[in-house]
Formats: sequence, C-alpha cells, structure tokens
Amino acid sequence: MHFLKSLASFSQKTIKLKSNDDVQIYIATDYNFPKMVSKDWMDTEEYLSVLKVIIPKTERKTNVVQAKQNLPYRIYKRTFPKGDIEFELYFPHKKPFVNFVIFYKLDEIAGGVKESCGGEEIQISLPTSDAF
Amino acid sequence: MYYHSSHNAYVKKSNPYMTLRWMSNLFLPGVIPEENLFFNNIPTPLQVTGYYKDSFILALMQDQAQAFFDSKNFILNDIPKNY
Repeated sequence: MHFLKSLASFSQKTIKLKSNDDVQIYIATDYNFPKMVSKDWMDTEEYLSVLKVIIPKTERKTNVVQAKQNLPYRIYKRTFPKGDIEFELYFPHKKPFVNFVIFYKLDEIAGGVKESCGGEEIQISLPTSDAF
Repeated sequence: MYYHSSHNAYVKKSNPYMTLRWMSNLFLPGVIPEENLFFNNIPTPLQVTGYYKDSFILALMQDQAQAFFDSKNFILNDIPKNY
C-alpha cells in the first residue's frame, strides 16, 4: 500500500486528488486533537503510531534512533468514486497546521471485486451436467 | 469417495470446438456470453494523482517509514496488518 507523505506542518484546508478507479482513502490523525475530518468519514476504530524520535548526531551512521514520544493516530476511511476527489480538513483550534497520514487502496467492493477474482479459485465438478 | 478429474487432451479432427456454459437459480443454462468473459486477469493498477507536488510525495506505507517528507523526526509504526 502507498501513502501520500505530507509536510509535517500541512496548512491547506482542502485536499484535491484524482483517482483512476473507485478508491478507499484513509486518513490518520492525532488522537489527542479533535476530529479533523467530516462525518462522511467512517471511524475504523483502528490506530497507527507516529513515533517522535530524536536522532543524535553520533548515532546517525548506525540508523539507531530513540523514540521520545508515541503519538496514536486514529484511522478514518471514506470511499470516493473514480475521478476528481476533494475533501476538507478541520484544523484544531488555534493550530495553524495539521499532522496527518493519508493512504489509499482500491475500493474493495466497486473496484477490487468487479475486475478480478483476487486470486481466489475453487474446483467445481459437475460430471452429470451437459456442460461438463 | 470423491475425486476430481480433468481431461484436457483431444484429438484434432474436423473442426473441434468447446463451449463454456453456465447456469444459476436466476437464469437457465446457456453459453456464457462473450461480454461476461475476462480476457485477462490483470486489474488496472490504482493510480492516485493530482496532488500538490510541493505538499505530498508518494511513498511506501510500512513500519519505520518517515511519516512526513520534511522531517526525519517522525516515523510510522504499528500499522495495522490489514493495511
């Protein structure tokens, strides 16, 4: 799965995208702030973590970092039909920017099933049928 | 005992052909119409575009990935397995 890596201090209230198929967009926002998406977004009740880390200069060569804070990001999802996509973000009071993680995948119902069996296969056997 | 047997060999004489038929409780047995056949099994890759290039970059969603492209101090972790 891919995600759209944003700025740490994203300050645009409107996000515009385009998709070539029906798509499920997921947006994860800091659980410690008020909900930043409209009621059209379904709360998945799932979380991911964003670790705030400190990278000491002496440890840069070893890729070892120490997490200083674990921020729970609650995940919301919404299905959009293919074409132009536009939605709003609600900024927390007195905060001029938002942190969020946005990712997406093919819509499970509209796109994921209609074009492909998804690798599922079963054997059928109707030896008495004239179509066998 | 149940077993499944498949036979794919045939002797090519005159003009052999085969038909693929189907039936269900909604329609009678019949040859599957051509418009219901898949000619390949490769769905079009999903592409999300149109975003502001100065605000987003496309990246692989996985644990330990940098969460924001302008800061190395935030890392993704605990991504649910169903994603």
